[in-house]
This record gives sequence, structure tokens and C-alpha cells, in this order.
Amino acid sequence: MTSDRMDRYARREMTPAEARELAQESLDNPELFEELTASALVHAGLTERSIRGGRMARFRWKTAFAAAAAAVLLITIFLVRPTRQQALPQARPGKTVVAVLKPALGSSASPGQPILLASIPASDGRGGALVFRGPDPASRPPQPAGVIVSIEDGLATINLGSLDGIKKGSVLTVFRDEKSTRATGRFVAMTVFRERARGEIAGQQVAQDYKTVRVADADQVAALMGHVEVLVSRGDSRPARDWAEKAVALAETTNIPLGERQKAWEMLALLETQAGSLQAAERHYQLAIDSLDAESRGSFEKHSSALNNLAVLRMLRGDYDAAAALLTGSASASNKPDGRSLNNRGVLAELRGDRRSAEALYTDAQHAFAGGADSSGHERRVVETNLARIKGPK
Amino acid sequence: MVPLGPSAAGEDAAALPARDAASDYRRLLAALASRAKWLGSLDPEGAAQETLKRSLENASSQPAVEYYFSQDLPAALPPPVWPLDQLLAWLHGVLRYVVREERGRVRYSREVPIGGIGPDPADPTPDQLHSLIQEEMEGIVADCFPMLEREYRAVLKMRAQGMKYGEIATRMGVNENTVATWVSRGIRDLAQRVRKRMGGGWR
Repeated sequence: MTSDRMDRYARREMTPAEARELAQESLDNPELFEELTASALVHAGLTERSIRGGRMARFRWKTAFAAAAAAVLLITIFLVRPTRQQALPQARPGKTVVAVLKPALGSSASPGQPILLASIPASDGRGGALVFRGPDPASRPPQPAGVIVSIEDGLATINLGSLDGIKKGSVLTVFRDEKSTRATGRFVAMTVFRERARGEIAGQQVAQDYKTVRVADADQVAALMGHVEVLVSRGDSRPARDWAEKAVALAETTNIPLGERQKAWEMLALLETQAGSLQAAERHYQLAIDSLDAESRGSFEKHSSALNNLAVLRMLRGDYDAAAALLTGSASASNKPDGRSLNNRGVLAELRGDRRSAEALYTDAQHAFAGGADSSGHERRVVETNLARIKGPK
Repeated sequence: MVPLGPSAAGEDAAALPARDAASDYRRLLAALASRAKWLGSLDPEGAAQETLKRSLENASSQPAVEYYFSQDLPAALPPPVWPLDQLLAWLHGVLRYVVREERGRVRYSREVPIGGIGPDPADPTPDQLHSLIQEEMEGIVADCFPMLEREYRAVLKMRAQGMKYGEIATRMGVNENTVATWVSRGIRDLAQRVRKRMGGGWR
């Protein structure tokens, strides 16, 4: 291996043919394979942020910000406490109020804070989607592969079932054993039970010699998502997030329909929001929205919901311009008035000091919740609270 | 009866390697197994096979795997979109995920409660390739970068900002060949430091 070739690889100057030659050479030279991989990882990690010393810089900034915030809080408490009744009227009008207002989400809001609305389940599982699979704590997690346990009258039985994403008509690949990468036959599910399935297999000989069946990637992702929903319904947030991460990783590394991948990203983003991992949630919402743009423009309601949730995250970290753009997109993606989006646009207007628009938007949100068949009493009350606050200090 | 084998296929045929991946990619599997062992896998060969399977099933990585690593280059196969370094970073990311997944299964089979299964709680989003390759590598590069010589740091910084060799040369008052040399030496020096750092417990 000449130094010149390695230099050219490091500079990404090789032609594909030269790169193939180098790759082939590395397969007989473990040291070279390691060196090429290390160089590849440097390219992956060499960004403006890492060169600036991102982590340390962020840490120092956060520390400084936390210290400054603590100092401001102490001074505020000291100044406000003895003359609270006199201080409040001074703080109400004009830009002073706008500058100190911070929005909050749902039950975490303190009195006086504008309240945002997002379609995020409560951490105890309330508010999540209904799950029609018993919340049995002993339920096993889904398995990616199983075995043929018996063959009778030309029908094979496998030890995988609906828990593992198998449904009638699912096609599983048959392998000699669990380490084999060469598929030799197929199993088509005809009757599906919770943890077992019966179906046809391609040839008696194959069935006898080849025992392992592997679930199709799309079915595996569906099974993992089903498991996540069960955990959410039980209020097991942390395990739910772990399994959602597995579903996302599988969805990202396999060739499954984009819509399924989008669902996995969105579910993980929900759980990350719930857990307070807002940056990770933002990233996954963004991926979900990008995928919707590419494939599912027809799904107005879901598009609107994902845009609204991402806007809420942006508002919680103070990026109001980005939130405004998303909420505008959310409004145009929805084919009917969306109470959550209207409420959040009202919060945004309030934060920017435009009380008249805020009041109009809160009123529209109230009407949307009153007229909607799926309106939630809780969400309507949130809007009423926002409306009462904005009307109060007039 | 359902017809046999991948050629009989229907829509799932695309998900299966057209040929026997185990023999076509025997040497790649050995290299991946060696890395899997280093990453702490209890079944390095299985992890390597799973990584290869996923890479051949993925529409973006599959052409690059075939082009760079198949035993015999299929005639008229066009060059892939991915450069070699992008593929190697991807393979590393998938392999690392597969090893973590394997550890999760081992923990489950030892009857650890469901809540205990899954990624290391110290790493909040460990299973996404973006996280693996970007955030962790960015962190390691951020730690190693200040140890480089001043000239290397300067040129790599400007390259990361998207500047061309000519612009960098003008700014630094050197010729373009010198800039190119500093870029490659900087990358290779950084790669050596990253390897040492990863060998010291990046798992």
C-alpha cells in the first residue's frame, strides 16, 4: 500500500475503480481495512461543529447560561417577593411581559403561562392510542426469527404469530439455520395465532431440511411498533422508547415502505418528547415530515399533526420563527380547522405581543374544538384558559 | 403450493441477495467479523452476516457493497453513488447496531426484566445510524482535533467550511499542493488518533 494512494483516499480523490481495487486489497489486509474505516469515520465526524469543539463549547455555554439564569431568578425573587401586588401591574403591559413569557406544554404549565397543545400521550399512558391487545405484563417481545415446529398434512406450524407481526398472507423466508444468509424457500401464513402460525411451505424436503424462518422486515417493524404501543398503554415509557429506537433502527437500515418508517420516527419522537429529549425528538419529527413530503402528501391530518408537534418543540426552545413557518405549513396541510394548531398560533402571537391576533386565534381554536367530533374536553379547557388569560388584563 | 427460492419471488425477491452472499462476500464477512469481535460481539460471524444482509437489502448501500466488495465485479455494473469511505462508515454503524441488538437478546435470554432490555441508558439515542456516525464521531473528532499540528487544523477547518484548495492556498500563502498534502496528512493523523481513542473503550 503506497502512501500516495492512501493520501488520495484521505482526500477523496480516487476514481471508483481505484477505490474498488483498494477495497479488495483491504480484505486481505486487516490493518488496511481498519485504517480505511478509521479514515471514513473521520470524514463522517469532521464537521464545523466538531472542529469548533462542539461538545465542550455547548457545555460551557449551558453552564454559563444556567448560572446566569439562576442569578436572574434569585434577583427576581428578591425584588418581586416583598411588593408582588405592585410589581405585577408594571410587568403586564408592553414588551416587558412579552420578553418574560415562556410557553409550556400541557400540565407542566404554571399559572399565567401560555399553554401549547401537541398530540403527545401522557407519560402514564393516558391519552395514547387504544390498544386492542391485552396489556399482559407477561407478553413476550416480538422475535425476528423462529423455527418450524411441526409439519402435518403438508402444513407447517411455526413458533411465531401475531405478536411477531405475522398476519394472514405474510411471507416468511426459510433458511437452513439461524446463521445462514441464503434463503431456500418460503412460508406463507394461512392461520395466525398469538404466538403460532400455520401455513404452506415450498416443498416437503425443504421443510425437513431447513428449520429457521425469518420475518419480513416490514412485518418486524410493525411488530415492534405494536409492542411499543402495548408498553405505552401500560405507561412503561422507558422500555417503550427503547423498543421504538429498535424499530427506528431496523426501519432505517432495511428496505421497507417509507410510510412505515415515518410512523416509527413519529412514535419515537413522541416518546422522546415525553422523556424530555427534545433535540432527539425534533430530529425524528423532521425525518418524519421529510418522508411525508416525499410520499404521503395525501395524509393531511397526519402531516398537520407532525408539523404541529415539531412546531411545539421549536417554541419550547425559543425558536419562534421556525415554529411560525411550521404552523403555517400545518394550517395549509390540514383540510379542516385544527384546534391544536390554531391554539399554538395564538400562543405565538401572544409571545410576539400581538394580543388581538392571539385572542382571535384562541377563539377560532375554541370553535374548532367545540365543532369537532374528536374534540377533547381537556384540550378545549386549555384553549379556554389561554383565552381567559389574554382577555383578563385588557 | 408456493414456488421455491428467490427466483420465484414476487415482490420479496428484491429483499434477497441474488447470489449466495456468504461465498461472494466471504472475505468481507471475515473483516466484519473481526471488527464485530472487537466491538464485543459474542457471535462475530453472525453479526457480520446480519450486517451484510442489511447492507444488501438497503437500496442505498447495496450498489456500493456490490461494487467495492463482491468477489467478481459484475460486468457493466455502474459505479455506485456512495464513495468507499461512506460505505465503510455505514458498515461500521450497522455492525455496531447489530452487536448492540445481539447484547439486548442475550440479556433477554438471561431473563432480565423487559425494562432492562435495550441500549445503554447512558446513551439516549444510541440506535440510530445518524447518532452513531455523526454525534459520537463528532465528539471523538472534537476531542482529537486540537492535538493536530496547527497547519493541519487550519486546512481541515477551512475544508469543513467548504473552501476549495485554491482559496485555502491564497489565505495561507502557500501553494495548492501544500494544502493537499496537509489535508491528507491531517486526515490520516486524525484517523490514527481516532483509532487509538476508539481502542480505549469506544463501545
